[in-house]
Amino acid sequence: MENLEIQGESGVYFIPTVKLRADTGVCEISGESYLEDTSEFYNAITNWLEQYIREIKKPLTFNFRLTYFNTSSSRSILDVLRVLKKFQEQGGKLTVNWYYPEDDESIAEEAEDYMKDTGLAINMFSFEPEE
Amino acid sequence: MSDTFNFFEYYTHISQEDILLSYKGPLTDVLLSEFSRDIRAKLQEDRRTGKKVFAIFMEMAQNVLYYSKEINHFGNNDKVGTLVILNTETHYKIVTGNLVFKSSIPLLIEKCEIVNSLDRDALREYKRKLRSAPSEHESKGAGIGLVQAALTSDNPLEVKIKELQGDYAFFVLGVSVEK
Repeated sequence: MENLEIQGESGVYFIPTVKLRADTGVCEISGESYLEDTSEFYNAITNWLEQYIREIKKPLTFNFRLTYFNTSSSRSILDVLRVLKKFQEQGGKLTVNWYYPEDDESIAEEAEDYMKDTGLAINMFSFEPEE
Repeated sequence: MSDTFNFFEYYTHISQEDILLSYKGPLTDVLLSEFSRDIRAKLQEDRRTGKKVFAIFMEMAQNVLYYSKEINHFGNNDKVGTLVILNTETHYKIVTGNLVFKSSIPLLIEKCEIVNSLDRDALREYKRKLRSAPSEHESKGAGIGLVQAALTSDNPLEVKIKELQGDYAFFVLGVSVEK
């Protein structure tokens, strides 16, 4: 199974950087998320995860390190977390880490709300955002 | 409009220091990204507040982009709307204006009243409910953008509606962010 890597960029839209590694089971999405077609972008991630769950089934760590995402992206992030929850329910070993900028408590609140929505345990860490 | 329009008065008004951004015209994703960059550059001294203004502006401007019933028939049929950000001593205020159908006003007012009636915890709960549900008809997450604007600003939504002749009304939405 191949890795999925998307290099983020900030143009007309804000595309987050995505690194999904089938070999290590470590996945990360970082940067800012405001997209032309939000569903299409995140479907690529959920499809990759579905395949990993079917074929690899090894322990999976998913790191969220977003500094901004719009409400449309927040729906899609919920979809990603739901797939991760399904993996865990099927016996998969899962770690979800949520890194939020130390000056933005709203992104920390999002993690709390996602925990309520999905029943997943999400580890929360603050970080100092770059200039 | 009569020919008494005073350009210099208008220019003086929009050149006041307390207007961070003022735009009326066709809206596109390219324009929104330019505005958002401009807002972030102007507010970089205060990151925390600047980010709030930026995030609220994006949600509100996207709402105008999706829902405005005024269309520029030249070019790409872009939606037309008005976007303003005021910079006062105590707060920033993001204001958007666009045409809506008169028939959609009751629902719009109801949505805003619901948002304004909820405290922060209830608002988070309401946002979670909207986010989990499949999108409403003619909605790319409408409602949730309003809820997010209220959450981010920690202030009520200010709604003004002016009925026009025919089927349309002008819908103005304002949200303040304390400095």
